[in-house]
Amino acid sequence: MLVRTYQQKVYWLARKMVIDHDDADDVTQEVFIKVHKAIDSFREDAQLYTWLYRIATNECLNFMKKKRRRFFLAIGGPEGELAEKIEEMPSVSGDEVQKKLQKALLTLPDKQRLVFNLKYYEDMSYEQMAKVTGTSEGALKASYHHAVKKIEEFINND
Amino acid sequence: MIRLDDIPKKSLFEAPEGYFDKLPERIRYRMANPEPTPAWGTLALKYALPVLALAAASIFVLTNRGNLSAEEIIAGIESEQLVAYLAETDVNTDDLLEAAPLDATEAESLQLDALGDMFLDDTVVDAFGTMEEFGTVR
Repeated sequence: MLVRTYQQKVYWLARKMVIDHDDADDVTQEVFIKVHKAIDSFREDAQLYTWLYRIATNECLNFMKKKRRRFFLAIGGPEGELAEKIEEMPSVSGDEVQKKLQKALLTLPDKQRLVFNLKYYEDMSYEQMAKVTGTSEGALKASYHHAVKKIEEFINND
Repeated sequence: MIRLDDIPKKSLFEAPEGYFDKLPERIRYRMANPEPTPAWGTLALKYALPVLALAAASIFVLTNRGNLSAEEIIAGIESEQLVAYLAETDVNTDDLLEAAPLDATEAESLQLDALGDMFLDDTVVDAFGTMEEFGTVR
């Protein structure tokens, strides 16, 4: 029941971070397996949605961290590989601005990209985001506005 | 100049057909059939060997060069071996920065784009004002 209710939210959160469907699938499954294992420790004074999202965001960041470690000895990070995947996506074919936006997002540090995705695509409030990420609202606002600035610079200079 | 608000908000990703119909069952299967945990021997190979190699190298250097500081011992190890060891461990940049005894000059010389990888604490934002006051930020 939990999976059916939240699977799409978790999947799309992961997909926007890891880009590749198979990777997003792995992350999504891991999230629900961890939720299942930890459900006994869930404090009912917290919202289930917030708790589950916290697990999902941590799993996305851990996945990206592991991915970066695999690229540790290579020149550059995994951004090049992810940018290629975006280039190959049929949904961006011909839509240069969207392509630039997605590539701009890849230039952001993972945590900042996560904040951006939560705010821009999911319209999550800073209050909610603070509970999910364990970060102050002020820091999140600064991170988001800085991300927007960097994205606009990338799009206009690329 | 294109602003973010000028760009239509759309989701570019697509999930395979039927993916969400099958996902709950796949997850249920995984929960019912957990992956076997690695035997101790496999874990030892994965984590203990790099540590043993480092320890053996340290002992070798110590016995052959007399009393050495930690920095001197590390300096005697090939960079590729250190990189390979770090790649196998869970040590990350934040851990290294936390452990590194940086003085004020060294801390300043680190690129400010490292801050982009961290959530900014309210105190940092308050202390440094607007984002424009940061130096080169990634």
